[in-house]
Amino acid sequence: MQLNNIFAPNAVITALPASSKAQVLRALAEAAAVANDLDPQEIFEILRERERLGSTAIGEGVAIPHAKVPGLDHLVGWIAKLEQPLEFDAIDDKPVDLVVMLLAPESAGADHLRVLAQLSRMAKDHQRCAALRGCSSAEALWQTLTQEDERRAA
Amino acid sequence: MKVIVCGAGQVGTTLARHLSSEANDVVVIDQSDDLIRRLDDSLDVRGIVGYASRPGVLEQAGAADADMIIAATVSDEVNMVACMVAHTLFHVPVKIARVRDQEYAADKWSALFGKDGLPIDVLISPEQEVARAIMRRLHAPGAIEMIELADNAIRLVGVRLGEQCPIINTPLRQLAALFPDLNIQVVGVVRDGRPFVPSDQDQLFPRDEVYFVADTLHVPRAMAAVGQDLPESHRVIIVGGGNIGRRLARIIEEEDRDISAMIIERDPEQAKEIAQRLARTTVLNGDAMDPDLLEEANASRADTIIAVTDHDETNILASLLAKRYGTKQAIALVTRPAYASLLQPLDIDVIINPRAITASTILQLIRRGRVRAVHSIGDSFGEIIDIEAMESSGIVGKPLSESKLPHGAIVGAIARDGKVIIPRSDTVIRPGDRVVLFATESVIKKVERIFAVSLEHF
Repeated sequence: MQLNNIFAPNAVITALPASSKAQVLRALAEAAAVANDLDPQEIFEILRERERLGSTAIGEGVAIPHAKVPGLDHLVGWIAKLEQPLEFDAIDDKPVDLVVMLLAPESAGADHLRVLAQLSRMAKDHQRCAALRGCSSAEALWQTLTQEDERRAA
Repeated sequence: MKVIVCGAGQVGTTLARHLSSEANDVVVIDQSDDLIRRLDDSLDVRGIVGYASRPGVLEQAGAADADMIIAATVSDEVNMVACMVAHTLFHVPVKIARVRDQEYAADKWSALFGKDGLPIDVLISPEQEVARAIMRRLHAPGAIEMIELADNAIRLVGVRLGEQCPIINTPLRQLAALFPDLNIQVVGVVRDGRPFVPSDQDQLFPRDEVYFVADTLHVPRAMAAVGQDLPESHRVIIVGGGNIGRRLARIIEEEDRDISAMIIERDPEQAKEIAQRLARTTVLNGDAMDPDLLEEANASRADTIIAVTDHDETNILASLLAKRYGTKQAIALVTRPAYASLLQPLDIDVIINPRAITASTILQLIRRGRVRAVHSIGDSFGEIIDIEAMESSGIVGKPLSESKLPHGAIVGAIARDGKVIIPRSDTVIRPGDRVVLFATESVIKKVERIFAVSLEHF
C-alpha cells in the first residue's frame, strides 16, 4: 500500500508544540478529526487507551500511535515532528521526537497491519529517520515520507 | 506522568507521596501556606498555595499538560468543580474526585457522573473504602488481609501463622503433595518485618505473615489448614464515632443482621448526634481507656474491638486494653508506618493502614495494561494486581517458566471460563485470562512490560 494514499499532503506537522504525550495525542486526534469530520475526544480516548495497553514508542525516538476509529472509512495517517523530544514510555526509554499516527476503520481487514509493519520498518531505518528529521518544510516532510517509499517499492 | 493533587490533607499527601516515589511529576495545590511548606520540605513535589478549583491556579499548576488530576480537598464541591475546570479548560485526560457525601454517588443520581454529567472518571471515598476493608476482615476472622479479586472468583488472604500451624517447616513445593486439598499459592511472606517472595524451596515458620492466593470457594478450607478458622464476629465494639466509625456502623446496620455493634465516642455532642442517626447501634459516651466504660460495653464478651479514632495511639492502646478485658480480636487503624514494626509483637490482630487502602484506587488508574484492580500489600512490600492477559503480550502462549517474569513477581492464580487455576511452571496463560499476580515494588515496571501488547495490537 502506498503511503501517499494514506498520508494527505496536509497531514504533516513540522513542529508540533507539546509538553506531554497526552498533548501530542490530543493535537493529532484534533487534526485528524477536523480533516475527516470525526469526534476528536473519541479518537484521543482510543489512542490513549491503546497506549495504556503498551506504548507505541518503538525506540530510537519514534512512536506510531494507532487506533481503530468508528465512522472512519479509509486509512488515515499523520506525521508530526515535535518541537521538543518527549518522554513517551518508549521501549528503550529514549524520548520521542517523531510521531506517525495511523487511524483505521473499525472494519479494517489486514491493510492496516501491513501499513503499520511498513511504518515500523521505516522507523527502524536510521537513514530514513534522519532524512525525516532533517525536513524543515511540510512539503519536504511529506515528500520524504511518501516518495522514498515509492522508490523502494519500485 | 504528570499529576496534580488538590488538597494537602491526609489523603492528598498520601497520594502525592506514593506518586512521587514512582518518579511521577507531582504538583500539590492547597489553600494552606503551612501545609504546602511542610509538603515541600518532606516530599519531592511542587507545592502551590491557592484555591484548587480556580482556573488560574490550575493553569499555574500546569494543568495544560497534566495527565491526571486528583481532587482530594475537604470539600466535595470544590473537588467536583476542580475536575470540571480541569476538563473543560485544560483537557486533563483523567479526573478523580474525592466525594464523601454518599448522596452524590447514590444509584438514583447516577446520571450525575454519566456521559453528559460531570466529567469525573473515578470517585474516591477513602473513609468508605476503609470501612469496607474492615468489614472484609470481620467476615474473615483470623485473616490480617482479605481481598476479593477477579470478580470474587479469587481471593488474596493474609494470615499470621501460629506455633501449631500444620503447614510450617515444610518446603512450599511439598505442600500440594502433603495437603492435596490445599489449593493455594503463597505469594509473599513477611518474616521479622522483612518481606520476600518465596521460592518453592522456602519453608514457612511460626509468626510469619503469609499472603496467599486461593480459589474463593477454597478459602474456608485453606483457613482451617493454616489454623485460622475462627468463628465470625457477632458482637463488635467500635471506638471512635468519626467518619469511619459511623460508616462502619451504618454498613453493619444495613447489611449485617448477625452483628450487633456498639460505638464508644468521647465527645458528648458527637455521641448524641451519632445516636440519633443510627438505629440499631448502641452509642456510649466516654473514654475507651476507662475501665468502667469497658465494663459497661461488656468488653469481656465482645468478639472484636475496632479502634478507628483519629489517633493511632488511642487506637493501639484501646485495642490492647480491650483484649486484656477479654475481647477476642482487635482491629486497629494505624496511619503512621513507623508504628507498624513496633506492633508486630503486640496483641493486635489486624492493623488497618488507611494509606495503602487510599492508594489502591489510584494505582489501578496508573498501572498500564487492562488492569482490573490493584491493592498495595504490606508497608511498601508490593502490589497484588488483577489484570487481563492480552493477545500478543509477552505473558501468553508459553509456559510460565519461559515468560521471563522477574524475580519478585509471581502469578498467584488464573481465572478462566469460570474456573480458577493455581499455576505451575508449565501452565500456559491464554488471551482473555484474568491473572492475579503479586509483584514487589521494584519489579512492577518490568511486569507491566511483559503484559504490554505488541505494536501490532490495534
